[in-house]
Amino acid sequence: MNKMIEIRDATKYFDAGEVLKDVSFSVNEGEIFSVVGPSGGGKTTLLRCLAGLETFSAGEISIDGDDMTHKKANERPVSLVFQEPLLFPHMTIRENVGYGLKFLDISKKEKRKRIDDFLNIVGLPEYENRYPRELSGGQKQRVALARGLILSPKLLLLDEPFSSLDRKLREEMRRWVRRLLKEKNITAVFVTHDQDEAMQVGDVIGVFREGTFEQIGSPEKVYESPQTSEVARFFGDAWVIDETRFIPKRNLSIERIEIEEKVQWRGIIEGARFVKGYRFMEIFLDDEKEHIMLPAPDDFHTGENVYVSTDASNIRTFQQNREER
Amino acid sequence: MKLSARIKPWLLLTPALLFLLLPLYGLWSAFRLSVYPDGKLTGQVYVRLFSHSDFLLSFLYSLWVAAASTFLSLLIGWFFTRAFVPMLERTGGRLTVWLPMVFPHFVWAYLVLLLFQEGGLVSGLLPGNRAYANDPEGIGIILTYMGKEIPFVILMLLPVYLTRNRLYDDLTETLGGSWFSKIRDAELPFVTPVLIETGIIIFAFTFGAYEVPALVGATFPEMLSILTFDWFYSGDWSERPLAFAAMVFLTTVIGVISLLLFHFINKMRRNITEGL
Repeated sequence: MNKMIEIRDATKYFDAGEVLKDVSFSVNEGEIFSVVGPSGGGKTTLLRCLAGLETFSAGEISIDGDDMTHKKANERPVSLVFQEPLLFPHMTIRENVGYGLKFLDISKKEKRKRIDDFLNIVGLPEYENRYPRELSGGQKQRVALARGLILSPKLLLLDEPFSSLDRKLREEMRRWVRRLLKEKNITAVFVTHDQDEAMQVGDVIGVFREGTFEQIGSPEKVYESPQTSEVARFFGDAWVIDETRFIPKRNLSIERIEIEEKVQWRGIIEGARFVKGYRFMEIFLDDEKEHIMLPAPDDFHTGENVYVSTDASNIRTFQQNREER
Repeated sequence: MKLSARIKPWLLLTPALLFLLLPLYGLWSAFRLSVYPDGKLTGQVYVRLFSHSDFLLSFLYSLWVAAASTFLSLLIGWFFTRAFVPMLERTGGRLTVWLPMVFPHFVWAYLVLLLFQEGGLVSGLLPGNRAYANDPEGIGIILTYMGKEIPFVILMLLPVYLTRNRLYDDLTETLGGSWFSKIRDAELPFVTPVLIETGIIIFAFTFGAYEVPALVGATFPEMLSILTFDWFYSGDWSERPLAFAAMVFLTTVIGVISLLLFHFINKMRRNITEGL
């Protein structure tokens, strides 16, 4: 498959220190690459460097085989959709969608056609003469996406574009955006701090932490086989025993009694939580001095002493995952 | 006691409305005296006013001075603000702008007089030893107003620049825009309402103010305020209604321009504040 974007040994320094550390990755044509990681890890800086709004202190970037390292943002075939929709408030929706076309050498007829097409794609043709103040948050973000896509960029960058939307709308938008990008065969880098969002939208996930990728792989691979304790902790569905070992949470159970054949940790139930229709218990592990949340039957109650149990064969090492790569 | 929603705003506005009564009464009196000069209703005073060559010349001269002072103050103030925002954020920078605001217009006019009059410090350095105070082109008046109004423009624009979302610049650039597109599409639309509002204030003030033209203005042509003052206090009582008519006309011109522009910026401001 054709590599649409390739980054080699990219580094970025600010006065405060190194923000990107020898970052290398590539994204194939039509692929969505989710960059996920905690806030303040350098994700947005990476995206700004890809867009050309910042330059790498060292390293190279090429898009569709062309070297872009020293090209400015307005010379790169890249569109960026920001966290906020950033629609021009003094322009109509039609003017907003067609804004970037002003800088292209194409006929008025072609411009009109493209704007009409994209207003239809984002389902807002009847809003063309309205102003942004008349649109909801989700509609605004769709217009922002249309404004980026109308330029037929070789690379679309999305910087947490759904973070300002409510949960229900966010889920709808994720599905809608993924479907749209796949239909149009758009290569995209999608930045988020939300693990679910990264898995739902991306074909490939890169866990980005402290200026570098901890792990890059398919959503299933990163989820099932974290290669470092940080990846396992960030994805949250594995219990990290120590810096070398972990257990997938689905292999853990709650018991009332000690069972010799099992590996067990003593704890106390501190409370019940309900997530997406399932009951979970929050257990405080006495020796490890940490909390763990596990699904539990209804007859377990707050204040009960319990054992978190598993078979020894379920304990895995990060080293094992790195070797399986 | 709970006040009804309809009465409450009016009660709260009462002090402001009472205060407005004074200038409104003044304006009404001026209008009455201009249309009842001899106890009976006539438009004769206005006919005399608009056919008076001194008035027409003063009106055009005042328009030139007010328009030039407003335009240059806005332009330089805007350039200064956008170029020095980081500096103006600091106390020292803000103080530098505040300082000229503290001087009364009259003091500033004295400074211009000292520097730009014949033999003044700056005039002496200029080619031909040309004086720019008490000059018929009104440069001295314009310079005085600029000295006072540029800091005013900066102080009005500074909050807009400090709170402006700079991501719009980045957005414009990623969509292919140049530095000019950034100014036109990502900066000016957010600044324009304040710029127009400030312009209205400066124009209204410079168009009708008396003290600065009195000190650094030329003997001829005169600003409208000087001319009307002369008419009012001259020994010839028949010229007094002309002064009233000129005052009514001046207020109407400023009032109409302000209303039109306020209507225009209100729509603009609404789109901007609610559309973000």
